[in-house]
Amino acid sequence: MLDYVWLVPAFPLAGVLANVFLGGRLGKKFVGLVSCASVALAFASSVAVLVEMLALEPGLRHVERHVFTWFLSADLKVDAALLADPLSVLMMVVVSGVAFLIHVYSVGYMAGDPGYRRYFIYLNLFTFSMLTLVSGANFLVLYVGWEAVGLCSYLLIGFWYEKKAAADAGRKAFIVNRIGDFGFVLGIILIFRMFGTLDFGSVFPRAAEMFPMGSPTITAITLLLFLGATGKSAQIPLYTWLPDAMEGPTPVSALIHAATMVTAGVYMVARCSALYVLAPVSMGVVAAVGLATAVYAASIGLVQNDFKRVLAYSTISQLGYMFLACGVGAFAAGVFHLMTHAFFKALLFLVAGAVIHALAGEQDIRRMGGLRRELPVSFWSFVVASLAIAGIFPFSGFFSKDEILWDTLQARGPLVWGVAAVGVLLTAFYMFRLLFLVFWGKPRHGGHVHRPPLSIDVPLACLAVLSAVGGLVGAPMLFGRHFIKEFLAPVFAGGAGHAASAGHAAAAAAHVSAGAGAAHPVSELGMALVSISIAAVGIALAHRFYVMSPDVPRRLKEKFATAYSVLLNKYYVDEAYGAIFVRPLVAFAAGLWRYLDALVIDGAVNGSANTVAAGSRVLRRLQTGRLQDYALSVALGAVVVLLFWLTRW
Amino acid sequence: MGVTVSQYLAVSALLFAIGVAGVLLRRNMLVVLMSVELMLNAANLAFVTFARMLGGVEGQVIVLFVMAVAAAEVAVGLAIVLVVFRTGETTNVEDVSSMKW
Amino acid sequence: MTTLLFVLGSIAAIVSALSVVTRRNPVHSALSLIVCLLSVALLFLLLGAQFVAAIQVIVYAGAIVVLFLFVVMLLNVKDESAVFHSGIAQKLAALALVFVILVQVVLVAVAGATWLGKEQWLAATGLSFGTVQSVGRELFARYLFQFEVVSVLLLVAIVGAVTLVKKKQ
Repeated sequence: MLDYVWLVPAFPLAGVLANVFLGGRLGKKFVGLVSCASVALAFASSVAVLVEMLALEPGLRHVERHVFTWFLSADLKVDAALLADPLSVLMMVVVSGVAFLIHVYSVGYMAGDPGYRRYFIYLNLFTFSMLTLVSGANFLVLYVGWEAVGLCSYLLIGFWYEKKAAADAGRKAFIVNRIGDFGFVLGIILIFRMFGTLDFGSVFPRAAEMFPMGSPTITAITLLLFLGATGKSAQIPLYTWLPDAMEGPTPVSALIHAATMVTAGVYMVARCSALYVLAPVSMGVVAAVGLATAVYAASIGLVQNDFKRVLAYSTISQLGYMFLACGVGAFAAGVFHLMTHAFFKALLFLVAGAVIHALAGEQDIRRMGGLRRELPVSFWSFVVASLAIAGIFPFSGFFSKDEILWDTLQARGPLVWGVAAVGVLLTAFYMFRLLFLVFWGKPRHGGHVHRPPLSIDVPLACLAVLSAVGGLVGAPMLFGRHFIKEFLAPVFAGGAGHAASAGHAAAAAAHVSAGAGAAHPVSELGMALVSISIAAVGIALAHRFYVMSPDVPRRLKEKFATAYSVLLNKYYVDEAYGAIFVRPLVAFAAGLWRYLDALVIDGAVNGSANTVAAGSRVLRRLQTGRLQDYALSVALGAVVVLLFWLTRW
Repeated sequence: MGVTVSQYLAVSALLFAIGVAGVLLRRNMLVVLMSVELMLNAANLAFVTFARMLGGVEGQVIVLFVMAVAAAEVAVGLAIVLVVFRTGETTNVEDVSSMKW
Repeated sequence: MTTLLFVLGSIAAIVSALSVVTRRNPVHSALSLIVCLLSVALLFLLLGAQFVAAIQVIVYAGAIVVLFLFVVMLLNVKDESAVFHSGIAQKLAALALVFVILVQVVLVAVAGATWLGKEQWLAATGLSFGTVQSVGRELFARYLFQFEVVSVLLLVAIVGAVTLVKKKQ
């Protein structure tokens, strides 16, 4: 099966083609069936790849498959090559699995939409692109997937393009991503300039030989790549597109803007861990940005009233934790959190979709409430997911987040840990605020509640199970082994070896190696208890505020009116960006349009046209239509020819 | 034979020039066609002169071809004049300018 | 004798040609054309081209000009008030051109003749020169293919003329 890695992205691509060329004729049932089946096949083949890989020796778990030579130009040889190693296979399984569940969910969710076929074509195209991204064996294939998921994201955010907000949000996502992608491309070009190749297999092993620790070149490369990651993964300063991206259909938010695409940046940083460990400055930047984003986004999430926007800020915040993990050298922990986050955040969004669907499009949590009884499956799934994201034992988020916190404490000390812990408190608070507002209390929605169809409830249940138990693969204290870390160890081992030589990265490196967690069982257990209690405090606060005495938030709001409005308006960052970047750019563009474009360029174009027209108006007189005038010209020609002969004599 | 080649050719050139003037200046299509005949005749005269000068008959053979071409030209040309006259009641070349853009 | 005939023939040809171009009435033009063609036929005879001269009289003066006359009569064109082209510039340009052409043709012809034969006539190749026999032999031997092509050309002209003039139903 390892020889057939290409099948994994090929299935969704086949789904796209089938739906493009046949979907219109064969009807809705066919469209839904084909896209679900293609993703299911992709999932099945990635699981097969995973099983086969587990049968191999850990040292041999690195298989590159050349599909075709993409282009060949002087020194640049790029193969369309796929890579199967623990990291990419894990990503494939997670992406295709979550994508499959969301496809099934979409069949029910999008049933009445006129753009049904278009939706599934985009969704399949996205799955194909994402699988290409995670399975590419060089930077260019990665980049193709990277841009393609960006395109699908744009198409799906603006899926309801008749709605101005949706179209604007799509454009915003695209443009903001472009800024990050520009850095990413520069990083790739710099890599090619320095290494002469783009293959992961030759860049990473050579990096440590060619450049010393902390070399400015590697620092520049990694910072540029990280700029790409901040765009794609919605980190400060390029996070502003993600909350707006919620204009897209909810399953899209679940798949693209929570579970998979936005984690591409984390994947990329983890993939390039061999480069990052050589650049302590970049590691510091990654950690700082991740930490700041985690707390900052969580604080905005506290007061938002749109169901999906709260989740969007939550996503940004959780992505921040993943980058924090990468920044402290705990790449395995970051990828582990990526995986568990994919489960519980997809679940949260799907529940949000189910609720919104049930309330006929209502997204404001102030007009929900009391849905516990009407939507039991959604409710229980949401409880599981909230416990998971808050980090309550034994749900999946606990294991991954606790590991990140523990590694942070080890690598960067208590102060950084403390800030991250504040983020945990905020996370627990806003999630349970959401839970209590939506499912507890008296119904504030007035309308009839639609029962969701089976195709919505089943994926919810599946994801709830995954959210609950998905963390057990990384629970060293329960099993004595950390399966994820062990599995991913070959990918990160190369970089870790070099990191061991440098200052604070040493601690991080120690954690990357398997079983490091077990070296300090007592203190890690203690810290786990601390973080659980922090989360519990958050939950308790939420319960007190939104269930016991619902007027507390209002009083707080009045007391801290300024702080509240700053948070509600997302720190006015959108406005600031608008004033600093967007408006001057728009003015500049308008100036160019009015003066350069309209006067110079149009002037040149119209001028040449007018010149030709004026010349024609003169020359047209030659075309009198009178026979004899033409005969005269013939005679003139004869005279000239004869003159030529005579003078030649 | 006191007459030189140049004198024959001069006559030919004069006839040709008169023909050109007729083509360029007359307004009646029929006369224009006749002027074309004059030009062809001038050419024929030159051909025969050269044939005599070189002592071969090729020039005369070509004159026969020119006459055939002239006959064809007159047949088609007169047919066109007829059609034009039938549609426009005119034989004036200046009136026939519908091919102009 | 030859010189006299040449002078008479060429003067007749040039005068009648001028008359073709200047007459108001197309019938007069056509009649002048006959005179011109006949004068040229005389010149042909002087040059020893008896056959061509005969064809000139029969085909040109006989058939073609008669065709002209038929059409002139058929169209029943009145005398024209404005014989010549309307534009004065066109007129001047045309006349200038005509003059230039005249000079050039004379120059080319005379220079060519001088260069080729120094004004010398080659000795006539016996009595057969210009007879039907010698021209015919040349025509049907060396120029057979061209002859066939000309026959096709004439056929095309006939078909063309007929289709052009045919009244559409």
